[in-house]
Amino acid sequence: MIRRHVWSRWVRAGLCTAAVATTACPAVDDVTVDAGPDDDVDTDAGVEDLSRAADCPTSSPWVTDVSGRIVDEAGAGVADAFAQMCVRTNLGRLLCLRPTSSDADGAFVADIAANARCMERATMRVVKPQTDTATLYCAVPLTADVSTVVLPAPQVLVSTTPATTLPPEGDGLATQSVTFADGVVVDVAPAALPEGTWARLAARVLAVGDAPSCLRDDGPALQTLVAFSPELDIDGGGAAVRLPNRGALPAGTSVPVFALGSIDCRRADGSLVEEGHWEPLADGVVSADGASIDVVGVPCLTWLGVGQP
Amino acid sequence: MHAILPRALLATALFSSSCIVAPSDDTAADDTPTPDAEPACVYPTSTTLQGVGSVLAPIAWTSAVDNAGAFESLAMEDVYCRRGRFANIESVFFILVAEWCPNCPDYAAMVGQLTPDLEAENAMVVFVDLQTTNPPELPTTDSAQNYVSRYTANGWRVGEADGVVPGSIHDSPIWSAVPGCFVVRTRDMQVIANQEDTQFILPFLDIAKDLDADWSNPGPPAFVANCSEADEEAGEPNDTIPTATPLAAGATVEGGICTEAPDFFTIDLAGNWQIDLAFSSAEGDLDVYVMNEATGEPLVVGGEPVGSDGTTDTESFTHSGPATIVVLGFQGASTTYTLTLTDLGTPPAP
Repeated sequence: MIRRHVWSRWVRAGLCTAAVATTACPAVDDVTVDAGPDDDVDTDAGVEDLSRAADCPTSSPWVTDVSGRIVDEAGAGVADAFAQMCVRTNLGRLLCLRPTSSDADGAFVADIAANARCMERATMRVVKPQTDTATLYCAVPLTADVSTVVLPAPQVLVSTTPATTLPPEGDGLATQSVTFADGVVVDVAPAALPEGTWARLAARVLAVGDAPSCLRDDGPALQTLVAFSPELDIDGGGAAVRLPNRGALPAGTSVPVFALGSIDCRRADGSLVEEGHWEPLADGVVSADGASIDVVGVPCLTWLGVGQP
Repeated sequence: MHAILPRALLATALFSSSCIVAPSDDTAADDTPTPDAEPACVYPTSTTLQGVGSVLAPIAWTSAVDNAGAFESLAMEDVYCRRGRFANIESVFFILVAEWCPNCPDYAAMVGQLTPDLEAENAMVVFVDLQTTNPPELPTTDSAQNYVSRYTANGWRVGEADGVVPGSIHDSPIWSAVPGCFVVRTRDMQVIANQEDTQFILPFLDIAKDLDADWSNPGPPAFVANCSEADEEAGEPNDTIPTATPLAAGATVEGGICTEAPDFFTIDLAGNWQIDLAFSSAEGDLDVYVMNEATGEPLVVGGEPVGSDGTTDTESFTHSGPATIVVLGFQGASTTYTLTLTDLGTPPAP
């Protein structure tokens, strides 16, 4: 279930006074619509007014900027990576902000566009283009009374390892088995992947304790995570994936497998795995030889998580 | 494959100070203006592209995909000067998308559906692909075509890498988030609407029909009923908490959001219960919440409202104890619904 958390939209729409007789609802005449950046500029002083807009309910976070640091697994700052935030506003719109690049120490500050400041939730996507690092998605911790958000933990870019067996693309239509280290195998037709990504396929298995903290803290209980690079949305019916059975579960055991939503991660029925959210796919099943947990219909390769049976 | 004009050559042609109608061979020979020569088409003086009131520069793309799927070039100067196929174009809707943007597909599909109606109003829709999945890399028009065509077959497409000046829109302050849209009135090439000025979806058709109205601060969309009062539930009027309709466990209510007002119901169960709401999200997306009667807003627990607000044809959630719930339409949505309350019983004492 994708929650939009957008109830305040009907307060904004002027329905509140018709609905309840309470001072919590603004009079219709008092309801205004944020007119965007131009309205927030104090032309006299030349300084932008960052204070909470009158039409942003106090229960909704009002965020003007988000800052943080992008690091590698050793904790060193990663320069020229990009932090890109998507915001679900209090009116239910999903707005994705212009990406911000990190400095030499990995630090970044993302200024929030005026029409996205009254938000219900936000997800930070961190990517270092053209590298073997896995794109990271983390929920941005929001509270109603903090407008300048400093991410409490660094955004860790995890490196991946190229496929150990990568068949030629051929005509692109035939399903091929791509093998990675640590027993990960992906069966997919090259044509189902974005052009130019086949030769760059890479993956890595991580124990939960080695994964970026936001992936551990904000999702389901996992026993193993697998990072892929580059992040891929798969056309058609998705991929069949074999994941290592690190928990030594008995053959035939059903195990929930989760996908971390990416840019356009859609299941075969068209439903969207929301960006940055862990959502269950079909259950995986431990193979007859006990070596792998097999799952089919994987709609995207960003991060996969093996849950608890 | 498409033919691409040499960038430098096209730039020279497109960024001339004016778009004077080409003279005939005779006039070219003796430089003597003929008495009936058409007046020169002089592109307006442009400003920084930053919002409503800006005047769009004569930007152009060496490669574009037109609304019939053919590759050619696209120059705003041709549009302003009403050349050839642009003779009747009165407005241009620039739809801003990026290939890393999760909500751009839905926005592109929505605008794509509207495009035939917009074109009937002499509007032109141009999908501008601002960035690839590896920001800030600029996409080619090939990439834009591949991306946008997944979601709509309508409208023009351009990639910012194929601009005569690459990144003309990408590098401007007109956008800070995607998906976005700005609308240019071709009479003076002035920006008359910008999606960034409102949290509501721009009223595209209304804008195309009235290019002289003030679209600088569009408000909520007008309510459009998809059902009639006869479709409303028997408990109407239940448009406020004080007039909420009692909801019996096991009963099924056939109702509708057919006016702007939401519907309120009271639940008088001491134990656990479940609400199921079924409707056609294609006709109108509905949501359901438990109300906090003290604040007049939905009850919030752990930072999340108690209720269900997905995007499918059903909403379902469980709660416990007496409560007032509200059924409402997303951004003024209207449709009929079936509402069911199930008594889940009292949980055993811990």
